[in-house]
Amino acid sequence: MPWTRWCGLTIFMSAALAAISVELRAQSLNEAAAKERERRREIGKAAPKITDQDLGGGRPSRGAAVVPPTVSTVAAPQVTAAEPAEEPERLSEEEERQDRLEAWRQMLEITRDEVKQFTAEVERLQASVNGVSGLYGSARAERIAQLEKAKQDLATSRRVLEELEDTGRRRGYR
Amino acid sequence: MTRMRKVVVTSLGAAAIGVLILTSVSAQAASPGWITSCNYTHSAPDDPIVFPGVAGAAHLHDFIGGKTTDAFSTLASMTAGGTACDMPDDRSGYWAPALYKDGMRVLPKATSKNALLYYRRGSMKAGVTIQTIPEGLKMIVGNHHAESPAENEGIAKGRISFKCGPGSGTNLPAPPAQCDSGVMVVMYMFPSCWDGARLDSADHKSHMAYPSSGNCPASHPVPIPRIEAFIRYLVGTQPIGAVTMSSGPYYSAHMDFWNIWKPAPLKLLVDNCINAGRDCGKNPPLTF
Repeated sequence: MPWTRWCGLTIFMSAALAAISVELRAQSLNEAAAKERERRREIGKAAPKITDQDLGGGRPSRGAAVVPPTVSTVAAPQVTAAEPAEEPERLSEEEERQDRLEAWRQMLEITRDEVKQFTAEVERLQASVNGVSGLYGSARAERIAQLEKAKQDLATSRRVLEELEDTGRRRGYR
Repeated sequence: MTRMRKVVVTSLGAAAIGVLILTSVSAQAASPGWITSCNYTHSAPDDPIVFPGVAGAAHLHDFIGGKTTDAFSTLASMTAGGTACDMPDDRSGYWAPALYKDGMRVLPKATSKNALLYYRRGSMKAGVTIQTIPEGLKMIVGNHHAESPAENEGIAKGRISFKCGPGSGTNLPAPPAQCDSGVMVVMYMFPSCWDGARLDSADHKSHMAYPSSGNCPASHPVPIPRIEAFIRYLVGTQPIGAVTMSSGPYYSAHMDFWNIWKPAPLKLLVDNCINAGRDCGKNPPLTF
């Protein structure tokens, strides 16, 4: 067999093998997709139903400028509908990392602002309490209550800030 | 040429052909279409689809995309009003009810990309040609009158879901209790079969339908891109608490879309991304 024919035959065989492998891969993907659909259907059959009772009732308000009613949020099961969203939000790993970093920075900035605001508020109320004459006056009691509330808010914000900074350290955020 | 050299050349040639075949198959993306990112613009108790021309008649809505959307918006005003989308050809109006966390407003302003709009082929069968979205088409997903999750078909059928985000996260039929990422994402999936005649309908829904088994129903025979909106809310890393909406409990979730895309670029995207089987990525340039 001349070498050119040998070459041609080899190329043809290689291409055919590549095409077959792609087809097999597609088939296995199809099978996997079918299995996943079946799995989701099975989960759907067994899924608990959420009722109004579970959600704490509460009819929605209607019309303009509705004040949102308070509804308890239950620990939510996975979406188990007959026709689930087939394509959830997909971001590349890098996009997801960037977006989460951005969200972390946003939260850090907001929380730092809160800490500043509550610190200033605590200082203002403390000065006010110290300066109020009439040791047992109702105004003083009210301000002490406000001061205690502001201190609690400050403590919460500081705790959140610490958690965020800890998260940042663990994930290598800056 | 020595025999050894022939073998090497042959192998390289075959490998190149294999790579070409694989590449061409990969180009037939699993999710043909594109993504446009849009930002929150303003809030108002207006709804140009449900209450056109009546200011303050609706519950409070958060508007995304079109900068001037209000009760008096028209195709002309929307076209001229500018957009907060990163693709300047998308002047569409997207809006959803205002969201509250334990009674406190949370604006859809997490990260610099507040919302991602996925335009996809969706579950439509191979071989079905997707048509462009008619200019001025209006549609709604969800039910603001729902008095239970089951009454909101969007939630019951997984067309509206909640998750922690951005990105990967489990879709839930109710808001998550807590998000380590600090971001909660609400997803809305619009119908993608049009009746071919009406740009709107009395209930703002019946001119549209969802595909079934990869095809549009005979009553709504025109397949258009499936729009999935992912709206991001910065809810913090602490327990989220009770999530409600200006329309009522979380299960009153709904979203409106008014197509104000420039028609020619939209058609280009539909043809060159969706119908060409390509995932064109986020905010693709129109260089096809």
